[in-house]
Amino acid sequence: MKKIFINFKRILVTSTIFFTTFSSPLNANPKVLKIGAIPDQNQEVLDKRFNLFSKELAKNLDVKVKYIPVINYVAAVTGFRRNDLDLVWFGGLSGVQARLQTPKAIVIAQRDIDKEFKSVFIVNKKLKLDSISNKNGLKKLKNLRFTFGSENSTSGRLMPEYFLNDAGIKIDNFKGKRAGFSGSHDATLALVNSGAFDAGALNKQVWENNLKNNPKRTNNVNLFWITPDYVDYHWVAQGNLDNRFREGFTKELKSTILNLDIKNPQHKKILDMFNAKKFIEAKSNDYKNIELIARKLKKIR
Amino acid sequence: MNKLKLNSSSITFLPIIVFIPIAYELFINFHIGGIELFKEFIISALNPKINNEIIFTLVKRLNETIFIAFFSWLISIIFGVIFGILSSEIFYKILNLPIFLKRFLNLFLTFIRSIHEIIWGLILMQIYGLNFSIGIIAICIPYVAINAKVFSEQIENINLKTIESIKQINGIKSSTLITLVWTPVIETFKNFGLYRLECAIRSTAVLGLFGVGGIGTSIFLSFQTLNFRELWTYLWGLAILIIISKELLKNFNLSNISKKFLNSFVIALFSISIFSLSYFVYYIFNKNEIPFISINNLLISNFNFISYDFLKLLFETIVLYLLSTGIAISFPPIFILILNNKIGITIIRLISFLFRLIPPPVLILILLMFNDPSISLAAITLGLHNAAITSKLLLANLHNQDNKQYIALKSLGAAKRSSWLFGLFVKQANSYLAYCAYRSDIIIRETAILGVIGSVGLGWQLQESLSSFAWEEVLVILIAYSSIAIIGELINGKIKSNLT
Repeated sequence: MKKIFINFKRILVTSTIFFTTFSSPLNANPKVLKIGAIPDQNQEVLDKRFNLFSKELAKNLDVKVKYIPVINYVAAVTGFRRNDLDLVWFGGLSGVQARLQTPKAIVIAQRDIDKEFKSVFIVNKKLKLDSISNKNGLKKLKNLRFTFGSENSTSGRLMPEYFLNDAGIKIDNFKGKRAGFSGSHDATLALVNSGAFDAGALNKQVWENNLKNNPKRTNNVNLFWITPDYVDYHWVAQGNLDNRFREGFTKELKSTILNLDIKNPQHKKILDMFNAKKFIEAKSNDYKNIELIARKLKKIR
Repeated sequence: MNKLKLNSSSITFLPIIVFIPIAYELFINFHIGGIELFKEFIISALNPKINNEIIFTLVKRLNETIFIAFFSWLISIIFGVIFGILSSEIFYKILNLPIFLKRFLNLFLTFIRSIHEIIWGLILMQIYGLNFSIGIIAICIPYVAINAKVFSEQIENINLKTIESIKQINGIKSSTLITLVWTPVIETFKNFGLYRLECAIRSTAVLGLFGVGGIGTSIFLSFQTLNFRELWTYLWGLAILIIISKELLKNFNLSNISKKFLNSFVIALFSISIFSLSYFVYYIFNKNEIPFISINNLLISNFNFISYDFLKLLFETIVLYLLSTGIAISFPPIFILILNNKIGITIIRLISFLFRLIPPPVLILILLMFNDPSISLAAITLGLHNAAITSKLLLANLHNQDNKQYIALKSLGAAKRSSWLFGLFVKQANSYLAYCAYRSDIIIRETAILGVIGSVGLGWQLQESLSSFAWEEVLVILIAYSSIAIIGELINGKIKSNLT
């Protein structure tokens, strides 16, 4: 019995010391570029996409790059504000939120498709609803079980809710006087496909990808409506990267991202994972409209 | 039971009436839309995804979980004992300190106890960012207070006469105190402290759902994308962890507590304090930014919160609490009564293990496949999860109790069920109810995490406010939670003292 205690004591002491040293803040390396992204899709997809992207950045910029997965949009925004993340792939809304909370942040780039991004409304086939041609048709969704994606998603919640409001539909008009929040675009699709929800709204990109690659998940779903375009995703970086890494670092970072070329096979892999042909310049002004809508829907106060 | 008399055993069955409105609402909201997904979910339970990659992640996540759970458990027990002693009357009697200090401390502990560890986690995340150790701190804060309460209650049971007589011998005050408290502390640790480790593991899992790390993160991420096979790999991993830790602790004999063990405790305590201090210093000097960006706005903000039907949310939260407590109290004895044979009990054990294992947020998402979001749905989820916990305790106590009366009744020719009821259960009813009263304190706190997903009550509004970074609303909601929890605790305290 005594032996067990001695062992226990040893384990306790060593693990405490281990814990103390390894989790000490002094251990954090300031020379690592920490990349984050809002978790809007399947984690496997995100892991692959951003690990590949990190490798490319590390090669071009000659710094250590680490991808840190986060669990939700709020965590991404908070992590960015707290300097735990240096470069983050934000959605429209989360990017605006993050930049409002981190005044020195810089918009680096967006994809070609982000300039005119769209959401889709989908319905379960059993409802036998035909697709509609303009937003007024959204009224047909009244009294159905409806789900958004994540609470802070631009294409999965903010813009769909905006268009719904525009057509005169409030959350109260759905069944149970509530809308669901599935958490991600993939989940919205799966929930509507299974019939757990009657209808939902998601990112058009994810919808098209699934149509192509995952027919099982889209078997029982009909496209209901495609929204008008708006701006969405963008890369946002901390304002202090030049100080932390070297003079002109932010510029180099920006040009590395903008110079990803679809003709280069290595780059093509990355761009394909982003569903883009290339990255383009973006300004924070492009997102003014998103901010206005977000304020209207009280997602920004 | 010819006449229904209001004694403690009938009180345990009575709350079943809450099931009537719940069943009604669940029934009218029922739909079979999610049957395909549910089938997939069940089949995946038997066919979890296993490959090198996922096993690697599983082990990594489990390590994190063990780390967070073990350390938060250790810290919360140590400080729980300290605060337990500090908040017991005996401490003040022996050291002749003014009693108002105790009241002040109690109030403080009640406050930090009233807020669920997940909410502490969410708040701490806002201050410290994405940091591994906030998981530990978040669990520790309410756990220290909960443990302190349990320990101090046990210490209060020491006969006051003993204190008087020891005082008259004029012994050294501190050693008197230690001698007096030692036995109840060790006893409580044996009965309660070890069980808290399982709670800590489960809390860590739930905390992971909100982004702190550990197995919960994986569970939630795979669930969010409805990757059920992966989900079950993680859930079974968590199950194995819980079972192993329980077995290890069962064989852990506490009667041999030696000086060495104490020494290691002191060392652990010391390094932990150093560790937390280093963090504190680091943040003070390195990040001299105001944690809540809108802390100024907080003070000058115009409270337009009434627009959110605040009272309605408050009401919903209280209803949710009452309904789920009803289920948590009445389900275990009823089901044990109905399925009162070996196979039945095994089934109950198995099902309750599953309900304890699957974190409530995941459970409600599964139930959402068949039902529209409603208070009843949230209530049944929370109720079942907690019933699984109370049933475990009830079964254990029934098992440990001597069954002479039961055998006597049975040999007199009484039916099996009634002899169980009058021979076995009656004796347990009081302590079971007392435990349920304690459990219902926890249920209040848990309404927060369910509301987040079931879109009911304050929990939902909390999530919405947090994701809009509206701190003044978060503050109002926290105050509301805190007051519900404190009032609930006061009522439960009265009930408990009536029971004993």
